[in-house]
Amino acid sequence: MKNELIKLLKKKSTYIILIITLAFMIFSNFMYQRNTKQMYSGNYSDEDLQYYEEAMPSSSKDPETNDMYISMKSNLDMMKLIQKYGYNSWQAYVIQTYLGNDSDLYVMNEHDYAINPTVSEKEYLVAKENYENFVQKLDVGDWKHFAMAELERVEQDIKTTSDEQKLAELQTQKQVLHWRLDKDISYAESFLNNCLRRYENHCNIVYEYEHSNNHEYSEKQEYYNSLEALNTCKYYIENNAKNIDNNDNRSILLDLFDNYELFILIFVIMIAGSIVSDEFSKGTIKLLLVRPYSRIKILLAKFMVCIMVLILFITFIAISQYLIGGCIQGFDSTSVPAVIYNHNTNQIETMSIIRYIVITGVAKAPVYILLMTLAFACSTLFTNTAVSIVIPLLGYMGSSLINQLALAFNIKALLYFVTPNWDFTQYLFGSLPEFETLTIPFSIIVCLVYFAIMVVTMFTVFKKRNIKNI
Amino acid sequence: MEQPVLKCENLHKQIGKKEILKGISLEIYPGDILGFIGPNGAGKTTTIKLILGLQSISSGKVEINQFDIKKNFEKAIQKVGAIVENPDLYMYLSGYDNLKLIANLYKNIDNKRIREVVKLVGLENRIDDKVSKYSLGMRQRLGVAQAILHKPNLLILDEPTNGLDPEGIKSMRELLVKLAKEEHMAILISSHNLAELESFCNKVSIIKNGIIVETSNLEDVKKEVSEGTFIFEVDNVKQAMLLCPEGTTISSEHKLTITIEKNDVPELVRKLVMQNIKIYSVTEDILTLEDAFLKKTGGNIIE
Repeated sequence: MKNELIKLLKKKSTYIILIITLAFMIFSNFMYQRNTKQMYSGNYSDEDLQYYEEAMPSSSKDPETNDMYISMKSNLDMMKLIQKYGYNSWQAYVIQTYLGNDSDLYVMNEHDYAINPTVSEKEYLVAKENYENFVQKLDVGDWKHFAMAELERVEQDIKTTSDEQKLAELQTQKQVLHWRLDKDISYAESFLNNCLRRYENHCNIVYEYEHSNNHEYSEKQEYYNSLEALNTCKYYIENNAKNIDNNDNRSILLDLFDNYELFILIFVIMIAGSIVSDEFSKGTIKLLLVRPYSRIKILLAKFMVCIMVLILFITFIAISQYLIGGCIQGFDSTSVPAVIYNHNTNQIETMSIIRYIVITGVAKAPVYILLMTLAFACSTLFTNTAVSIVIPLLGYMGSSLINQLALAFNIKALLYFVTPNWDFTQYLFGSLPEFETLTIPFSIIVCLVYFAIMVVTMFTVFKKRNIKNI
Repeated sequence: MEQPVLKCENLHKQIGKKEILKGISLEIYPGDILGFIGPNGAGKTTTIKLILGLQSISSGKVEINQFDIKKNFEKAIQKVGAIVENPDLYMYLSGYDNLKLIANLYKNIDNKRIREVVKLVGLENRIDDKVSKYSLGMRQRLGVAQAILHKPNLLILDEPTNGLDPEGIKSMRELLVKLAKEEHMAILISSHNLAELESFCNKVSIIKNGIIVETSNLEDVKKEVSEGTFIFEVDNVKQAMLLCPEGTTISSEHKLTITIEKNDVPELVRKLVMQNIKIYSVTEDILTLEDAFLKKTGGNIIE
């Protein structure tokens, strides 16, 4: 009974949705590409500079605003210096670290503008010399010099510190600096530089969690996330990964199910919601029912077609995203495999993008299949297309609400509802589910029970149904 | 003795508290064309739906080719073709695609057979157009085409002449007679229009308020109700009355309705002429089937 497929293929509405999806895909890819260009910008921009210039007190002579004037002037000077090298250059980072508060710049400004300077002439001269040396080093353009200096300082600190947490942080810093020098990762804003920073951050979170006693579930989830981020960053750094960002073709493909979930659902629900009820409303169901096939077979054929459509549509989306994304953003990003941190083995794993999509697809399948079955069951029970499309969509929108309710008020009964259980991506690679008490077998059973209820009802009703006059 | 293709026994159908069918029994033999006649709301379509297994049977039995429709649906329905209510087709597909879809549901229907059927119903020129562009008459023809595609031996048509022009009705009639004669199909046609079926059905069942009031061979019925009634137009009615046999009635000032054997008509004419009664015309009063049945059914009351 693959007839059903032919019927669908000849329907106009099928194509309309496909075209809308494609249009959206092209559009969003352009959007993502624009975002890519804006990635990894430094802390400052021209707007900030302008803002400071406007906000600064007009004169240094007013005693009330004198202090503010000096500190803002120092900041402004720093920003101007950054502007000179570019906001995303390695100099920008170095300048920010060295010319913060109480820096040489501040001393110089204090001397120049303060009504009652607290800085002696000698201090001023030292500061000025330091500053000029500093700028000179910036100009010569060797960030490694600064990295070495930082490393030296960190090593010094390690020797003197006795605080364990502080020591751990310093060790991390040391590690990062070693990587920086070994792998030739400058301070300039780049993917790997970003990885280094994130690594440092997450290391601290992980350390804190591991050395504290009070473990709440949300903290544990955060810990797991950090662990994952930390190891992924480490992998990228150690393997000198190419520029990977969250908006390129590869990332869109990896997050296929998040990006296009609504489209997948709308399409599948539309098909499943109309496949039976359309036949009823047009009267063509009689054409099918007087054929030598039992009603169960007919309904089963339609159901199988829905599942096939689901698989085909996901494949279609994946392939067209690959092609469209490739055409717009280039194909090179897709040559990098997917990188996953497995919590069960505590190891980084790599797999091909296709394999990753298939795995997440299987994990996501219960969501789609259950909603599709709901649409299909409504279609069979109410024989009304509009109702059977709207109910599952409402259900989908309500699902996150129900999950949040369950989470916020800790309602245990809601865990037996299908929505907290149906998304198996939460279990993938040993990650922690959204709710503490959920386990994979439990979720499978809940999903199966709901699925069975719907399937049994629709088959029984369809078998017994009287075909009324139209 | 030939086995009936379709056999209904004491069919009952109840929806809620209302009894729609109160014991319908039918039998159709190969080559028969049974006219299933009744006023609107009498239960024609319901009966057809019970036969086709579209609705559940409250009590009674339907057997098609000796298979019970309830217990052995797939085998019973194998050799049945049907149009129920309107010819329901997929509007967004072409006529050919529609037939192709149906053909896919059976084994051994090739494109040759489809072309053959299309030719049979006279749709060759428009078969590749979308059904949504068809007129109602063309849809009816396509409906018949999908019903006979798999060479059924029982054809069930629910009001197939609805919306057809006289020429369409004629060609449909010819087609059905041909199918019954050449392919030996048993055909069940429902209609509320008796005159339409008169010319080609050989059996009639009349249904009223869920009961079959009459089942008979059409020839018998015709003979029975129209036997020997003649209308004489004469100048002197009273004088003529005296010479006529009993049962003669005066139907108007110059007209007499007389029931006699056809062979006796010349004798009666001679007698009247001898008495100097002027005869203007003698006509045989052929009661139409419709009149006859209207008498029998006495109008339908929708309960």
